[in-house]
Amino acid sequence: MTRDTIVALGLMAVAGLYWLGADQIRVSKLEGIIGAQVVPKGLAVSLAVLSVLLIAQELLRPRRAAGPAGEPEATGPRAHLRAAGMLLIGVGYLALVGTIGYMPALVLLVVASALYLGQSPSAWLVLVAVGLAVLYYLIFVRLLGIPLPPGVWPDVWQALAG
Amino acid sequence: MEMFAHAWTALTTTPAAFAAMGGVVWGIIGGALPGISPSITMALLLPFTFGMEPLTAIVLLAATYVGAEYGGSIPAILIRTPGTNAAAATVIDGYEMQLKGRGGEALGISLISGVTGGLFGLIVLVALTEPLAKVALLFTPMAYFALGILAISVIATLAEGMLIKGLITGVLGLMIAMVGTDPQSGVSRFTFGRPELLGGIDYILIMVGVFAVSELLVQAGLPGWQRPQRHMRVKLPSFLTWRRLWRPQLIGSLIGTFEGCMPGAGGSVAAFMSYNEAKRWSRRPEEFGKGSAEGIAAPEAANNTVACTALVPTLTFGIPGSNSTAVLLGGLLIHGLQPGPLLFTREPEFIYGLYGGLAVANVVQVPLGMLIMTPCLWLVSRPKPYLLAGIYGLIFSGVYSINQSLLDLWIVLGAGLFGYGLRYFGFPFLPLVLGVILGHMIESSYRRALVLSQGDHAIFLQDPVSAGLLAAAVLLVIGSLVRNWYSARRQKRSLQDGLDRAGTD
Repeated sequence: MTRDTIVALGLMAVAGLYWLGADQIRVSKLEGIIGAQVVPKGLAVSLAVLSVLLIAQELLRPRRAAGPAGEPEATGPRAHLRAAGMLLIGVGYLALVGTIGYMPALVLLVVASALYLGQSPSAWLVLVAVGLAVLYYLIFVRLLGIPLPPGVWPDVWQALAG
Repeated sequence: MEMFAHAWTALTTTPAAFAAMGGVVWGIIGGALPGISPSITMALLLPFTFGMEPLTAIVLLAATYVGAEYGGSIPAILIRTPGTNAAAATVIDGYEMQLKGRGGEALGISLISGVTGGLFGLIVLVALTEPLAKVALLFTPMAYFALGILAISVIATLAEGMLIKGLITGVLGLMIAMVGTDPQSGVSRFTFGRPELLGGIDYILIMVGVFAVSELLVQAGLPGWQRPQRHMRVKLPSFLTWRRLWRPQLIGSLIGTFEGCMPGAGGSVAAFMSYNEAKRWSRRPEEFGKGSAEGIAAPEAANNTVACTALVPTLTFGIPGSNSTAVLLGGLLIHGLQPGPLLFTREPEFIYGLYGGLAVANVVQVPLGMLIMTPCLWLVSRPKPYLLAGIYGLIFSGVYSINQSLLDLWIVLGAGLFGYGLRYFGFPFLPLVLGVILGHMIESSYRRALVLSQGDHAIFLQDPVSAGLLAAAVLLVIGSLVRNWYSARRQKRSLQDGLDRAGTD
């Protein structure tokens, strides 16, 4: 089974789930001739049909003749592992930022990403990470006036103060 | 005259001129970083534009596009690595000139040719956009629905051999656009009980995810790029050299005009086509590939022309022809600016201000391109891990600033993973982004049309504009299928011939 066939089967599953999701959409008295379910259901059917066509295309395509268009851009298990690690660092950042706050989480994100991408550990690396966190804080919070996640620190300081 | 008055007022009473300068600087820096395309450079900037005036925001994005096209030639010339896809043709002669110690001159030729092409493209943009937009006055809800379908079909058919995959990503984009409250009945769809999703998924999140985050994930698996030398001065071409360059610049500008107005063709196609044509029409074709100034002038003029002319289909019909113009269209919609004829009648200050901003961006490219060369080289020569880690932090900070929602960050990360999967399985991006952006227009036009016809689908064929656009979409898809079928047959035959020869041997 080729990679495209597996993807097509996965997409058919997505189409099925999407149909079920569309089926759950509440029917409203306000919706008129075309209800809120119609277009999503049409899309689910379109995706299923296109998935079948993708499988048919794969079956009709001569073997060993996959053109450059079908060639994946990033190949090799090592490349995928590197990408997965980078993604996990992002997940870690998101898991922590609500608790430890924007600045510490960003410092950790920069340090972890740079180390993961091959930078040697050094005091300079930490300084760069702190510098970037301060720079972004100044841009977003001070210049643009956007509040970034403070974490638990305001509560901690409040508890300590009184 | 009225146009100049509007442009002048817009440039002198708003920060648009400064936005043009800032956009050019940011674009040159982003374009100079290998792997960071103009669309990613623009997508990184999108969150910052939320709080800005519409004109300032769009000029900033458009100027970034202009700057990035020049920025892409810097690593192409200095380290043989194109910073953008469109700069790939510049590598051929640019790097040869650098090897001969003429890197500064090559950068100067790239800069001047880019400005020439950009100004040429701007004139075309001004001349074509308004008359074409008037055509859109004929559009009914049926026609808008058909236009959306045609747009996705055009983009899906352009990726050779990927028609079905392109259509699939278009449908996936439309599916994402269905999330949120149904505007007609008020019921929620695919929100999973999350109130944050009632307003739908911002297309900016999808764009940042599939363009920027997926590129970061790909870059994590690639080796570090070569660092350029730290000191290099841009040397503008002499008058004699300049006289030799008018022909390739004109060729690049004309091809860039045609390719920019055609959705999906983009700067890289224009750059390579103009390189070939410049070689064909050159008096010194033997110099091409060995450090020819003309070999730099033609592609650089072409991709900078595209940066302006690609706005023609975007502003008139709301069809972005490339990833970069898709980001720009996203920026327009974020600020409540709907492309089409009404934009020209209701917002003349915006339109002419945008033209003025683009003119400023093209002109200031010369001094800014020369001034920021040293800091730009300093930045590009920073270790790749620092740069990517900094961009990762910038993505999260910028996206959070849009709605101050952590869910948005999860969506961006999810979109990044999804984009990585699309790249891995060889699916094109642009139909997905178009589907997300156009989804609302397609659905609402479809439903409004059916309300008008009491549910009769024949209305889409009774309206002449709609019927014409739908017929064009069907013809495009059939044409693409036939082309794919012939291509597969040719491949099969050549494979069989190879096997037969191997058997005979």
